[in-house]
Amino acid sequence: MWSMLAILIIAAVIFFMEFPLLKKKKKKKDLWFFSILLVFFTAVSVLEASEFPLPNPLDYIQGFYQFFSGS
Amino acid sequence: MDNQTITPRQFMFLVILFTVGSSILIVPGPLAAQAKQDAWLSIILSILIGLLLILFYDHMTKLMEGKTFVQATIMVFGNWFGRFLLFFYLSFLFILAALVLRNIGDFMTTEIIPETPLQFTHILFLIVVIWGAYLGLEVMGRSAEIFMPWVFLLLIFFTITLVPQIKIENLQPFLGEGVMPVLSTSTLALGTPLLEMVVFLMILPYVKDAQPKRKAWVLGVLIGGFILTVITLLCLLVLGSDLAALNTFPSYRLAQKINIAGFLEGLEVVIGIIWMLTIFFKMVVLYYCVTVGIAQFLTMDDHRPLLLPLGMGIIVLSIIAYPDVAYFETFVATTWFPYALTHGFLLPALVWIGLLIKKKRSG
Amino acid sequence: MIVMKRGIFFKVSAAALCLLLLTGCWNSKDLDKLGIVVAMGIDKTDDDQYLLVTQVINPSEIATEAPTTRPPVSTYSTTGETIFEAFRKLASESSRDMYLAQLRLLVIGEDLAEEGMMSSLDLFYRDHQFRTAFYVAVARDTDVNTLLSILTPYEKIPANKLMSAIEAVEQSHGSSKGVRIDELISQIRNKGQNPVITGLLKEGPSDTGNNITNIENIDAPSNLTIDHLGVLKDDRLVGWLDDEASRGYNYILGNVKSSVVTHPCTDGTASIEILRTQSNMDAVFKGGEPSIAIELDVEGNVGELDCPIDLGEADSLKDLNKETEKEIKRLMETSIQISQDDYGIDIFGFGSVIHRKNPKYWKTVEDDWDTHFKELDVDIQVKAELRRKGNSTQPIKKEG
Repeated sequence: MWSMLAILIIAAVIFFMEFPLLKKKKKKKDLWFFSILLVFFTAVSVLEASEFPLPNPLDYIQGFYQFFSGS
Repeated sequence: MDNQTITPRQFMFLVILFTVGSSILIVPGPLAAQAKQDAWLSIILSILIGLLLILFYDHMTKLMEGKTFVQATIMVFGNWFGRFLLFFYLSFLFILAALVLRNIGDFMTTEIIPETPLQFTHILFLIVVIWGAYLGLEVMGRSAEIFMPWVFLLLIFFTITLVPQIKIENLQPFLGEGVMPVLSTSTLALGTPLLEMVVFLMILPYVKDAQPKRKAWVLGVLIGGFILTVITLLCLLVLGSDLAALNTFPSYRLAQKINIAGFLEGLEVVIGIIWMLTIFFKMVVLYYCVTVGIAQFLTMDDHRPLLLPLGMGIIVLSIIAYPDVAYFETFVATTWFPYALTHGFLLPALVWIGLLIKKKRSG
Repeated sequence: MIVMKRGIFFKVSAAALCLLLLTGCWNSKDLDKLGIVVAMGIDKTDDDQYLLVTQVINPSEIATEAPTTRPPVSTYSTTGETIFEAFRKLASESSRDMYLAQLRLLVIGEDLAEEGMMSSLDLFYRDHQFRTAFYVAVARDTDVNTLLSILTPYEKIPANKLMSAIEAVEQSHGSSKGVRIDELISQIRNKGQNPVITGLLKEGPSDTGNNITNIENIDAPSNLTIDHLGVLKDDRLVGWLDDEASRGYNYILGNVKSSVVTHPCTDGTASIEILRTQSNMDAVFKGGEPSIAIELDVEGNVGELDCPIDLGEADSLKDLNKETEKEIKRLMETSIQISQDDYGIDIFGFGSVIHRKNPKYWKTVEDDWDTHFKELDVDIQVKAELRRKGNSTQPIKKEG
């Protein structure tokens, strides 16, 4: 619970650190990508903090190469 | 990005620190487990193969004509297929950065602060890394210049203080198990750190002066490789191949053995500064390149807004990347080399061929 | 410069972050809340549990200028299914957190040593708090608890006394040898060499050692001494070498830095002070069968003479050299004979020497090396050189 709250606060801090600058410079595209990535990774972090079983990319990588080595 | 440049000398220091960082912790153990007392030969062998790789990368940089790997790939393969390839390249760097972060986290929690949760070690370490990547390449290069003497001094101190404990017979019998184990384990050192050098294809365009670049790179790898060889040799000579393989972090165990006349001991944390500094630079190079790469991938003007959001992602990935140390050990032993080979050699080779064809057509 | 542009919000949050992060560690422990462990002992109890004895420094007693009657160290003993469990139970006995990095000595009970000690050593090599610089020894003929409860005169901390005594014996007499934990583990795992281990003895009656009055006497009735070497087959204690065999062992391995060699000469004895030794071990293959050649160079002085020889004669020192060589060779042969005939265990690492010389041959004998070891020929060459006679040119006699 506390960790999720902490993540949200951190995300908000990050947003307010970058947002005014990007807005001032009128970088619309940068602002969009920044916001999308921030929302995405905040969601991932919150899921991780709530002990949601996230898929591990290393599992896929390992599976992929094991498929080739035939084991 | 913001047109920051570094000198070839700074670039060389970054290469040295990158080569040593995290490899110094994770390479000697598995190497000693497989190649026994000949583990040092595998390192030397892999450095020699690595040099060919570096020459290849260098040739590629010339063809890229001042563009980073990301820009060059998009130029050669177009917006869609180029980005498809780059997705894998960038994910490779991202995963590598997360794993390196986990290396230092694992090291700290095993040896120094076992009760501090892994997340906090990662967050604290990453904050400094983000700050470094935020300030840009120039600052990274200059701080490499500032810290390099410390790393060297500590390494020299480390080596000299261990000389009295060396037992030369730990290296015998020379090639007692035959040549095969040496050849097969050299892939391990080739995977970490040499194939990871592909990350420098993102930095090389920002290095000043076209001419001494190759010299700086080759010299950096040679010096870094020499340091790794010396550390591995010390592990074998002082601990013996059996204990070196038994230890999770043999080089740290080595530092614990420093004992000068019975009163100067317990210096392992001071020596630990070497790993912290080198891993920091490896991490900051990786992180900088990932964010710059993603920014160029998305055609953004500035990579800095991405640093903090990606940092959240890297922390999550570094935690979930492996549930326990045993998973990591099998991953490094079985999957890492083919994975690094694909992204560190095959993918650049594909782009290299594309560049050659393009050059032929236009020229 | 870039930071400047970020404005007040950035600066404040950066400062706040520093305030939060630079305060200290996650789990800081104050020095006055720590118990500094200097020695530990492990053994098996009768109901098959582990017994853990911990010797902790009593800091107020060590640092004080006005000593009280409180003992300088305290020992706690706890039991548990595993050593780790026993260790955690310490918390209920002692009020302090245990700090382990200063550990000097690990004492293993004789029963546990005979049963096999490898599984017990695991914790001591695995846990991050331990350094690898501590000695491992076996308590001979006493239980661990009594041994670690003895207060020693002169040196306030018994563990320190034991550690320096082990080093002193190793260096100035050569009848024992300190074995550090990593050395022990690597030798247990090595097929070509079986380890030896230091023995610790208690002298005097058992009921006085743990009392502070023990060290109020000029000659403390109970004391700790270093015994000879124990022989281990893999990780099990199978027997002990006597004084001569232990010294022979140290000569063979070149461990002797300084020692004394006494041999009879006409009407008395001569003692030679050994100053330095240099040993060289090599495997020789003749017709496919290995043998070991040991060369030992000894340098020494005349230490004590009470026999009528004329040191002025050129040959007298040569004779002493010969006698010394003979005596040292006898010690080494005794040692080899005991380990070949009585125990059948290679404690000298002859197997490792053969492995280094001829890995192919080693592969064929590796798995039953001990039976091959019993038949192994060992050739010993000792070369002694006495350089000086000391202050007197001749033995001091009653008549001038």
